[in-house]
Amino acid sequence: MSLQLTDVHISAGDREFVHGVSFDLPAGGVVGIVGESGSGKTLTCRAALGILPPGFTVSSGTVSLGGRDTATLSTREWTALRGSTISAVFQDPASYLNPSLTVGSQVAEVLQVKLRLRRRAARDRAVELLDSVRLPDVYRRYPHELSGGMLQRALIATAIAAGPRVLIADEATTALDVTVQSEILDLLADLRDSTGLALVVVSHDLAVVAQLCDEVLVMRDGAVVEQGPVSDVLYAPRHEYTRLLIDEHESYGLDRFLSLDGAALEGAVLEGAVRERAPLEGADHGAAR
Amino acid sequence: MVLRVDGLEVRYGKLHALRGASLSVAPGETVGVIGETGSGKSTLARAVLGLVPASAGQIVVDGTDVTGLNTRQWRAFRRRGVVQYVFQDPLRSLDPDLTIASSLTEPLRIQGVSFAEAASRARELLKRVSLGPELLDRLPGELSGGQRQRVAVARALIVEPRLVLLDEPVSALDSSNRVRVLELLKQLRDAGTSLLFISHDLGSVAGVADRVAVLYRGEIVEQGPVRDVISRPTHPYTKLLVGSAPTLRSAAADRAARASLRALLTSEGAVS
Amino acid sequence: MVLRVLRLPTGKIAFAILLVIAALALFGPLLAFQDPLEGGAGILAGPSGAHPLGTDYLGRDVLSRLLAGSRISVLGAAQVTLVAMVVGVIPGILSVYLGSVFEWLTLRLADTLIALPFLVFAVAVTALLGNGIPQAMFTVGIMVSPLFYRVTRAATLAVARSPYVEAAIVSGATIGWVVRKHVWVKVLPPIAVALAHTAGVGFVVVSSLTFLGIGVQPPAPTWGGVLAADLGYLSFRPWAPLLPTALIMATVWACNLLADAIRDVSGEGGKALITAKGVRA
Repeated sequence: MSLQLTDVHISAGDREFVHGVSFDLPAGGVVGIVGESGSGKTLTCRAALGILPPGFTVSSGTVSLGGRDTATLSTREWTALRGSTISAVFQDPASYLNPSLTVGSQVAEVLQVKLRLRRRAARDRAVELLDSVRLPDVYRRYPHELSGGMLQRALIATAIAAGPRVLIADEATTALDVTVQSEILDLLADLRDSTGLALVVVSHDLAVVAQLCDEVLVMRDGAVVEQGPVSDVLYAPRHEYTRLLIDEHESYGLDRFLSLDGAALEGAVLEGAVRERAPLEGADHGAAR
Repeated sequence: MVLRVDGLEVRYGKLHALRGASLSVAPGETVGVIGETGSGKSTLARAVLGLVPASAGQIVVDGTDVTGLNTRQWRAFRRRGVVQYVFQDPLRSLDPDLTIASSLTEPLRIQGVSFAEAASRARELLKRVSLGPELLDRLPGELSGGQRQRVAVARALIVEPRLVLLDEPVSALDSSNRVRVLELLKQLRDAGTSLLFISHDLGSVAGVADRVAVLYRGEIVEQGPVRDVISRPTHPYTKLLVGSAPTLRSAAADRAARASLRALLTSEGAVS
Repeated sequence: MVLRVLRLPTGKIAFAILLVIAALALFGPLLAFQDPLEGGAGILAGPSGAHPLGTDYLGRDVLSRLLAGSRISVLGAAQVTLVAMVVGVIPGILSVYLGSVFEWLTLRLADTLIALPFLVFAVAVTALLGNGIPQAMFTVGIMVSPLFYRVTRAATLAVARSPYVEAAIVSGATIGWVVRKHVWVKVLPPIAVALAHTAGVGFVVVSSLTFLGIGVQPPAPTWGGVLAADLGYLSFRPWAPLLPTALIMATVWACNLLADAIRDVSGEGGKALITAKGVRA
C-alpha cells in the first residue's frame, strides 16, 4: 500500500474535527474525497502529509506511508519523505511560486535539494518534467507570464519532481475554467497511467472526483457519510447527502442532456475531433483573421 | 428583437476583446452566452450597456440603435428602463452604506418616482425574490451573499425592464444559493422577461436558457438551441467545452478525444 | 457620526481639549486682565500675584498675552483648514468626472503645490499682498489643499469604479446623482480625517509664521510670538517656553486624536479608503 489511513481522528484541544477516516490507496490507485469546506477533507489531507495546522493532532488511528506508521517519524524523516514519497498541489497555484524567480529554476531547485542533483543535471531534468506536464518553453518564464492552468501544471511538475508515490490534489482545479480543469485532470490520469502514481483527489464537486477515481469518500462535518467504489456511490447512493449532491448535478449539470444523448454525444465528439481536424486546419485559418 | 448585436468589435488599446460578435435575443427569450476567462464575455455585456465604447459593429436594443448615442442620449435611453444589469460580485454590487430600501428603489428614484411609491414597489419585488420586507432597513453587510444577489436581481427588475443582462450571476455563490438564484431566473424567464445570461458554466446556463451562444477569443463560434449545442456541438472549442464538463454518469468525452481537440485549438490559435 | 466619535474615549478627550481651546479663542481676549501690549516696570519677572506667569522682556504680562493671542492662533488655523478644504475637495471630486484635461491640469497643479516649500512661499506671498494674517493663512490653505484634493480624488475614484455606481449609471443616473447618493458618504470620513490633520498642521503653521513675525505685526500677541519672545531669554526664564509650547502641542494632539476617532467610526465604504497611517492619497 502506498498510503493507508486507518480510522484517523483529528482533534484540536478537546474538540474532534475528523471522526474516523479510513482508506487504502494502492500504487496507481485513485481515491476521491468529496465534501464542502469545513467537512474535514483538507485536514485529512494535511494529516497524510504531516502538515496539520498548529494545535491539531491525529488523536487516534494511524496514517501509514509505504508501510511505515507516520506517527513514528521524526521531523527530519518527515521532511525527507515529503516530496520524495508523498506530495501535494493546492487550490491557488500562484501563491506557491516565487514571483521573482523563473518557473524552471523553481522546479530545478526542488531537484537540487531533494535528489541532490548537480545544477546542470537538475536543469535538464526540470525541462523534461515541464515537458511531461505539457509545458514546453516555459523554463525561463516568470509565474506572472503564465495562465492559472499553466501555473497549476508547473506546480504539478514541481510536486512530482522528486518522484513521489502519492500525489494529493486538494481542490487543485477549483479556481480554473472547465476546459482547463479537464486538462489538469487528464494530466493527472496520464501521470497515473505512465508512472503508477497514486492519487488522492479532493474536491467539493462530486463530478470532478467521479471522473478520475476508483473509490470515493463523501465527507460531511468531519465524518465519512458514504464510502465505496465510484459506481456504487453514484448509482446507488445510500446517504441522503450524497443523493443531494447527485440531484444538484442532475438539475444543473449537463447530465440531463447527456443521459438522453450520452452515447450520441460521445460518438459526435470523438468522431468530430478526428474527422474535422483536416478540413478545419485548411479552411478556417483564413476565416480566423 | 429585444437585442441585436451585429459584428461587434471592442478594443482596449492593443487588446482586441471582441472581434465581431453577433447575437440576438427575441422578446421573452433567454439566451446564454458561454465564455471562459478572456473570452470577452464581460466586455460584451458592458458594450451593450454603453459602459465601454464599440470600435465597430452595431448594437440595437429594443429598436434603438445605441451604438452612436452620446452621453446625454444614453442617459435618456437608460431612464426608459429598457435594460438592466446584474453583476457577478454580490459583495460589491450594492452600496455598503445604503439600506436595502434605498438601493432597491434607486432605479425608480432616478426616473423621478416618489420615494413612497418606489418603496411599495420595492416591497413587492422583495417578495418576488422570496425575501422578507424586514430586510428593507438593513445594510448589505447584514445579508448573506445569496440574499444580496437576490436583492440585486430585484433592483434590476424594479423598472420592469425588457431585457436583463446577467454577468456570472451565480459564480460567487455556494451551491444552495446558486440553485435558488437559478430558480428565480427561471421564474423571470417564464414571466416573459428577456434574459442574456453570461457565464463560464455551461451547466447553470443550460438549466435556464432557451438558446446558447459560445464565445471564444472574442467571437461567437457557435449558437443554437441549448440541447443541440450540448448534444451535437460543431466547433472544436464547444466540443472541448462540453467534453470537459464534469459529469456523473457517462464521461462526456474521453481523454484522447479531449487531447486531440486541444491540439487542434492550439494549432488554430498559433496561426491567429 | 459626531455621536459615534464622542462615544470613543479618544473622541471624548479630543473634544474636551478642543472645547477648551475654542473657549480660549472666544473669551481669551476678554479674560486678558491686563493690556497685553502695555509694558510694565518689571521685565522678565518670575510668577507673582500680579503676573501669574511672569512678564516678558518688555515687562508685558505673559498670561494676558497668551489669552489675547489665542483668538488669532485658533482663527488662523481654522482659516487654513477651511481654505484647504474648499480648494481641495471640489476639484478632487470633479477630477474624476470632468474629463481628462481637467484631471491632468488639477493633478499637475497639486504636484506643483506639494513641491513648493510652503513657509517660504507664504513669506513671499505676504511680501506681495501685504503682511496680514488673512493673506498668510489663505496662502497656506492653498498650499496644503493638495492633501484634500488627493484624499477626495482617491476616495471618489474607488467609488466611481464600483459595480453599484455602474448599476446607477445603467439606470440613467447623472454624475450629480452618483456624487450625492454614493460618492459623498464615502469621501466624508477621509475628508474628516484630513480636516483634523490639517487643523493640526494649521496650528503649527500659524505658530511658526507668527514666531517668524509673518502675518502679524510684532506687538500683536500670538502663541507663536510669545514662544519666540520667551526663547530669546531662556537664561532668565528657562521654564517660560513650556506653556505656549504645551498649548500648541495639546491642540495639535487633540486634532490628531480626533482624526483617529473619526477613522475608527467610519462606515464600511469609507473605512477602506483610510489606512492606518492617515489617508490614502
